[in-house]
Amino acid sequence: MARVTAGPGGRTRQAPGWIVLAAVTVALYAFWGAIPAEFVPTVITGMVLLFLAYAWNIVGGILGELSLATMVFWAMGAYTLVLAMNSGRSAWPALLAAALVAALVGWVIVVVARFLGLDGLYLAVFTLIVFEIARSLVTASEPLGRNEGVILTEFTTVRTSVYLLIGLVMLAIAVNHGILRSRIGRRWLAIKDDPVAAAATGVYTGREKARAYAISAGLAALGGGVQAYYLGYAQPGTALSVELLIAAILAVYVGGPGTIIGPLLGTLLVYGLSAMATSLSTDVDVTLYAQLLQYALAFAVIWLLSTRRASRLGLTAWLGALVRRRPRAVAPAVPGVDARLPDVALSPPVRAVDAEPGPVVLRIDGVNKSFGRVQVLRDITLDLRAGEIVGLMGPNGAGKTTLCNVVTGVIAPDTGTVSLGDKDITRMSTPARFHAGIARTFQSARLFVSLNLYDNVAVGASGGGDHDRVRDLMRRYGIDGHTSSTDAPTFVRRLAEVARAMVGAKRVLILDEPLAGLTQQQHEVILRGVRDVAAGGTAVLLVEHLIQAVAPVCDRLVVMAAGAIIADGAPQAVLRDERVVDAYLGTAVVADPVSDVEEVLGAAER
Amino acid sequence: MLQDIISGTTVGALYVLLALGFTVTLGIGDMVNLAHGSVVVAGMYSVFALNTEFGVSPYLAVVAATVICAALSLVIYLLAIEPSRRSGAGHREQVIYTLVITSGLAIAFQLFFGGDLKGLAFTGADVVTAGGITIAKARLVAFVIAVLVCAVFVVWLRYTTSGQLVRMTGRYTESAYAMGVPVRAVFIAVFCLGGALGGLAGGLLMTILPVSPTIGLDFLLIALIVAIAGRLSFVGVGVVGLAYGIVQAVLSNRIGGSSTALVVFVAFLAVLAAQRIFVGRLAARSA
Repeated sequence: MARVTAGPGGRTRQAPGWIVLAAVTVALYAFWGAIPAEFVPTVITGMVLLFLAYAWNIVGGILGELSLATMVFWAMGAYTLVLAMNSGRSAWPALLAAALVAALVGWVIVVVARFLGLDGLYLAVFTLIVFEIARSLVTASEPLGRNEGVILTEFTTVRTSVYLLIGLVMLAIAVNHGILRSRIGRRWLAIKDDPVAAAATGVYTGREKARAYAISAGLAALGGGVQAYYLGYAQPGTALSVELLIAAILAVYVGGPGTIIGPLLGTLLVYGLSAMATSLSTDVDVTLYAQLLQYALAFAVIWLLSTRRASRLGLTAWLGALVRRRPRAVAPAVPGVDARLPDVALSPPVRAVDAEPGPVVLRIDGVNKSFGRVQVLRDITLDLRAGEIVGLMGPNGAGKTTLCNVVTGVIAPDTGTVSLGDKDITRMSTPARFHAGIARTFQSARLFVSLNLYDNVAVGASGGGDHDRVRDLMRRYGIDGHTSSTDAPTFVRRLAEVARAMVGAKRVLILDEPLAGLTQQQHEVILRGVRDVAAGGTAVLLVEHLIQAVAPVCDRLVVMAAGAIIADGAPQAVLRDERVVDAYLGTAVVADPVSDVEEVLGAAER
Repeated sequence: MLQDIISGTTVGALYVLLALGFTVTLGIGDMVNLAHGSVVVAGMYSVFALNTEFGVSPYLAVVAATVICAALSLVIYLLAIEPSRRSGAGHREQVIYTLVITSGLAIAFQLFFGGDLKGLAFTGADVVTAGGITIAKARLVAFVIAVLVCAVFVVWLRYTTSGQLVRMTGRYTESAYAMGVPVRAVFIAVFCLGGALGGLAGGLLMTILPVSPTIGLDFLLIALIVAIAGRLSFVGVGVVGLAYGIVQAVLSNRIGGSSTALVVFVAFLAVLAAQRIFVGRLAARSA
């Protein structure tokens, strides 16, 4: 499967990409003259589409947001250039200024949408409305020539247009390449796959979205300007063309959204056929049939590829698989996790009970939370101390996951406060909490499928020291031999998720059912890691049903039922608490509380 | 002014009808159909073709258009919605697929019917005059049918066992599946019902307005604006849809089409902002 971001050796592998780009640029400039004159208009139109596809790929492919406002920025560039040249000003400073303004508008669109609480589908609709507002403005405006547009009074040459266009296309590819090869690309792909998990891993989703929209918008304005320069006019039919945007979106989706080669492949396929058809005849009907063919073909390609697992990456993945014939389909014989298990099993993880408790790191104070009329958290007060492992248990629906969400800022409490050290963090955003040292895993595995295993663990890493830590953690867990985040065994993926949280968990680590579905030997690998983290001074909150497995490593057990904490203390004492037994069994049927509680609870759990 | 308000109300009722179709697919089935506007246009052309080519009476043609659009929706469902439902890919792929379908349909309309405006001959010929207000009979009939169908539909969905079953299947799909509800059939039914409502609205619109191949985008925008500003609730959709029709009729006679569109879009954003401040976030499903 094609991987688009740099692996562990990312920096050293960057050079060839840039060299290829530079070589292709030089070659294009050198050999442009060899194209027969009658094909030049077709090729130029194709390059315009190619450029738009790359500009859109930044938002729609890498970040995964369906922006339908791109033509607004395109039109900003087009009209600015024409009006500037007509008024005798120099065109290119004006176009650059338009690009900057477009970038600013793109940024504002995301900020406003966030204020309105719109994301996903609703953000797409919002961008469509912005587009319609722009179109109404243009068609109602006399200086912009309403539906007829503005004609460039100055004479322009095809040669200049072509040189500009080649430069622009290569610029757009370079920008895509730079993003995909950097940490920014890693964060954007993470947002595309799972915004909630990305935020919990320290990605400021709103900020990153605004950044992507701004870059894409600035590029689009440049493209609109050059298209208007080539055509000699700016009018709604070209500068605000919905068909052009749809063709670009299709090109991206056919080729492979969020890949570097995808928009090129997609444009060749989507545009190539219809270009051939239209070059045969100038009849309007032929153009329409060609367009219909283009849509049908694109639809068929996306549809057929979507039934495969590699659908997310379109033709790119399919071709990649064809070329490589899966040389690494068989798991490599790395000394993997399983080989190390016996060693771990020999030393069962048991904690020294009389360890000195550290200072309080996390304080949850009087937290209440209701969803509608259901109160899911009732006056929760809980302290976590540095180096302490606290097991949090309780029947399904007790509010454990909601409590985790309150601590990580996914959910805001109705009343009460959460403090980290001396600092009140009740209103702090989820990514800010990650960077302050609180990290978590989720109940169901949430690896980012667009990223390889290393990048998954490294999403939250911010400095050079963090990257050493990523490598160290992966080596320690024996998962450094795996590359794919989708083909790896469940246990490897779970370990990667735990490691991802550990990278950021400098003060508090929250693990939501990390042992679910694993074997006993695998439990011990994970619990051993938990103990190591705690030994480093991190407070660990371990949400788990498997009490027998976690009790030996816990300093304290906290039990929740119906949204309230009903027991909090040393594991042995808590497990013998009558209320705890009641909570699990519903009624007080245990006559002898000293009987084997673990067995009862285990049975209740099953 | 009063004249504009009344003609705006009749169009507004049709907007409610077509937005209701969109709301049902999104609110109950969590399915995005950006081809909804094109389905409306398909309804319009169906009536036009049946009436002018085959001499079918307009209102019989409207019934036929409803059926045709339900069938068209079935095709759209199988092509665009089912693959992403099965793979759990969600809205992103549905948006792409239906966007392509809507673009393809616009071209198909142009190839079949030509790019110019087409209208029915009888439109506006018969008028009713009362208290100084003149209104075309066709508008009155369309209004009455739209209100009746909306009312029947909402009552069915809210207060009958089968309607509640449909709503709950959308909300608790897995439980419904476990209890033996034919989930796939329910989702297909919801999607086709949404399309049928769109087709009916289109058919009725044809009796009062002309059609052209590319107005599908306008109807899609109307559906989106009414459904979202109405917060996917039946009452909300009713209020916003009527208001949309009235505002449009009153303003377009005074400040022109482009400026009216501008006012409506900005007003939509203002409504969203007001809702955000006073009511809170829009939940994905509330119908």
